Amino acid sequence: MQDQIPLQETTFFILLSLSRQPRHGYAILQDVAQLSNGRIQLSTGTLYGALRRMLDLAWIDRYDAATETVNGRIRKAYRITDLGQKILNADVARMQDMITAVQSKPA
Amino acid sequence: MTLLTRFAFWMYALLLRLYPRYYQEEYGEEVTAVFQHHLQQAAASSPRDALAVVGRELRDWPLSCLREHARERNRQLLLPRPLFVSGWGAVAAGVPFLFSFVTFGLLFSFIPNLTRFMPLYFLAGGVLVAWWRRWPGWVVSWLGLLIFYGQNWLPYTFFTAELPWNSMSRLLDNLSQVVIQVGWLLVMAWVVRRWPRHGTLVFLQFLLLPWAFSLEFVSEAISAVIFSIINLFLAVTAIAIARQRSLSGDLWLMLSATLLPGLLLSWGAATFSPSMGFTLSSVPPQFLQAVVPFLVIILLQTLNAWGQENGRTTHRLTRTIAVSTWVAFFAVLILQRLVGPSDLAAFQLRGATILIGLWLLGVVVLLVSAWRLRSASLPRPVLAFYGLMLLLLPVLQRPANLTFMVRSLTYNKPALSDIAALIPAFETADFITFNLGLVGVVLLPWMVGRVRQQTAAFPKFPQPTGWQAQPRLASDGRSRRKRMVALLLGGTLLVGCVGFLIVFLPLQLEAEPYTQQVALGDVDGDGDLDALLANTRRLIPNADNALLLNEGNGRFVLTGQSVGNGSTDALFLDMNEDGALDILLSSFGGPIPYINQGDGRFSHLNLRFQGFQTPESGINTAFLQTGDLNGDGLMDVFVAGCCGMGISSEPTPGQMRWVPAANRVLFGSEERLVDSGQALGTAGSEAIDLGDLDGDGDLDAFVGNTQGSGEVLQNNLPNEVWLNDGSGQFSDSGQMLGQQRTYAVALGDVDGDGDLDALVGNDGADELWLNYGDGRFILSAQSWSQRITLTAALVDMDGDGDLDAVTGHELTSSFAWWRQGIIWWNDGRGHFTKGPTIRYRPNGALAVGDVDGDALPDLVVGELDEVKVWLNEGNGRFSPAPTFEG
Repeated sequence: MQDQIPLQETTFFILLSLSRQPRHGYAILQDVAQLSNGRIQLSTGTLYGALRRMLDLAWIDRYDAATETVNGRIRKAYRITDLGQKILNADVARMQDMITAVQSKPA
Repeated sequence: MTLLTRFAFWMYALLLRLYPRYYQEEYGEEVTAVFQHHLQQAAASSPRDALAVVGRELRDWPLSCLREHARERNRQLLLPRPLFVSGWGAVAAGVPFLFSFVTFGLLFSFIPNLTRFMPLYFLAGGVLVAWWRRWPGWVVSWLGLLIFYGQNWLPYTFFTAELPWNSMSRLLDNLSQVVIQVGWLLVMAWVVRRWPRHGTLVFLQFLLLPWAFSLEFVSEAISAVIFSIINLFLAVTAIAIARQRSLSGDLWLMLSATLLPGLLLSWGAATFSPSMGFTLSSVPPQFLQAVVPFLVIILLQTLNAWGQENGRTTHRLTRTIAVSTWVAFFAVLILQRLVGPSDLAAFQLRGATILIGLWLLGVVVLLVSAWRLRSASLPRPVLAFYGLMLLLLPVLQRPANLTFMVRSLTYNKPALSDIAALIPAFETADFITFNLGLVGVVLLPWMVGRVRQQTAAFPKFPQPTGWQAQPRLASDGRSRRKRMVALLLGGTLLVGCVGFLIVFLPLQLEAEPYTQQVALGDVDGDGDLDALLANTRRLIPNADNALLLNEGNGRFVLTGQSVGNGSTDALFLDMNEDGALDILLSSFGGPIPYINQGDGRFSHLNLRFQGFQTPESGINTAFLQTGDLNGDGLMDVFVAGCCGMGISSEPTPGQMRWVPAANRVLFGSEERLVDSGQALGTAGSEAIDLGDLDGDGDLDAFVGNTQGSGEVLQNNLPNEVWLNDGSGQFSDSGQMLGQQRTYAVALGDVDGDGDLDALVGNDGADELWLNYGDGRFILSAQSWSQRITLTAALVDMDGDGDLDAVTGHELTSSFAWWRQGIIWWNDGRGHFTKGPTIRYRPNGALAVGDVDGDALPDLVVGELDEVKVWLNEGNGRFSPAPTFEG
């Protein structure tokens, strides 16, 4: 697992977004922008490229959101898996360690 | 909705169409909806935001699109279900190796005949394993490999046992060929069905091959391009297969890894060598060489499995080893080409260079593997075992590596005689290490099975989503269309395959025996030229010679007389001075005379040639020329010793010792031919012509050389001129003429200056050497055929008083469909221009003689038991004469 981190910034924010609640594509797009204070504005190509990669790696799961429809079709949504959550946690822990190191008093 | 957003939607839909179809189907609606929603929200905010959304999409589109295509390609390459070999299955997989071990390693020493049936062992073993394991994919792959190599083996192992060449053996030969070819094609058809993409690529090369061979006649450039395409297919297949993630994929990687080196080595040698003997004798090492990558891959995959828990790059080892092996392999080829840039035979497994290259390959494998091994957390005994296997791999690539290397390095080097004396010890060392290696090879699949069983319990890495997506694809309408296309493609391939079978197989069968030389002479005293066809085969010369009588009009009738077999040369001469032409055959067993009873019927005369005994294993009386060499009025014979080893009774009479075969001079006497005791060069002479080269009134010899004789061969030895002192004693003039293999020499005064010049037919550009008049030659700057020249004759074909040239050529491939005869017109001053050409079958030999009694020399082609004639019309044209059947 350690060799999967550090995560790319985009991947990190998508996982972070999904760790709070399952979302569909556009909601992820907006949430990532919001989480990064508008710094990361994803295109659909980048978003779905990242989603597909994380699906391959089984970090997230794609499912039918039964309560939501678009043009009469059931909308697809994404949720984080246990493995994805572990990866995210590991990356967060890594960053926390870095911050701790920065904030520690010099010897 | 503004114009801008409508245009953006349209553009987005357009760009989406450039994504892989699978992506469009699975995500098309979703991403479009997201984009539309996003754009509408942005447009509601400000046009600038909308433009920013569109700009980001345009910016990211190329990379995203390419990435999805790459992902789609990888998805298609994945096999639906990984297959793990159980412990017993792995043991079963070792059965062919066990056969190899038993036949090759141990029993070969005691029961040599067992090797005759080795292919049968392999095939039977493969079939048994397949039956036992209920035909899983890897077994069929394995069987395919065996069949592929079996097709090289089966016929020739029968031949090497020196079976008599009768109808039953021929039937067996043909039958085995058919069975093997059909078996191979069935396997290939199965491959295409099972893995359309890879199978098709592999299959395509088999469809292309006959075209490559046949088009060679039209243009060697086209042929070369086709061969390049075939190699490209193989390379692409190898790379594609290397990316797969299952044991089946490994086996395919093995199959592809074996195909390309196997093709390059065996076909490369066959293509560039006029004699396949060496190639065929190196088939077992080739097989080992083919199996070794397979073992390496299994080995490394096992290591991969052990290190799989980190879950990231499970196949890095395989890729690394595959790539490094290939790089090393091509490095060896390049090295060979650099060492011998003008030597096409460098592609053969021959000489110190290639042996060192193979060692280099082994060392690279060893180093890379050792480097990778350090990260594997293997138990020590397993690690030690694999280490031993890695150490033995280079040895396994060639069973007699050490011995060959020592022989190569010490040959003809007296200073190294102490080392050379150790050769028996090296042979023993080779034997031990080879057998040790084979024991390890037998155990290896078992080890792999054990490891696989254990690693099966490891947490598996999540399967790619493509695996789940595949069934859904199979249910829609587009998939049905795909299946139809695949069916049509497969059907086309099968039809092509049958065509390949029909066209290529008979040709391959017919190409086996061939006519080496055609001798023309009047044996029945009716005043016309009759024909004797010296027939042989490439490995074991057991094709019957044929004597055909001329009906006077150029039609030849097969007499059915037994006039020997397996001859590389034949000539007519009156040995017993009864006025009738007798026959002297050059053969594996030395010169064989057939005495004419006066009416064209011949009896075999069991003459023993004094001091001229021949070992069974060597060709040392390959080609003959006759003339009065010692001035006693009797016809003598100059023998080109060609290749291999001969026996010499020198210096102690009665005590035989092996020496490289040399050229000899046989003096005619009242009763027999007597060896003069001269050994005139050991340069592998395959062509001679006699004539007074230095103007002293006796017959000198222009000798065309090839690769030397003896155990260690050299390449491109220069031709020599041997000058006669008048008593039949020859001395080397010291000239070294040309740097190519020479297969034909014709002497004649082409420039009208009164001395004999020499037309030399080479494996490459032919040469015309002009005589200064004293036996010294200078190369004429004329361009001749670049092909392999097997026949050269200087005859006045158009009746203008000067000598024209006739050359017979083999195309650069041994599997070529045709040979070619070319007439070269002389302008009287020794300048030649290319004239008409004829085609004849690849088992034919060309000769020149007036067979229809019109005083114009005609072109005569002997093809085993048939003579075809192109009659000289006298106007520079040649017309095919009706054949005997007509």
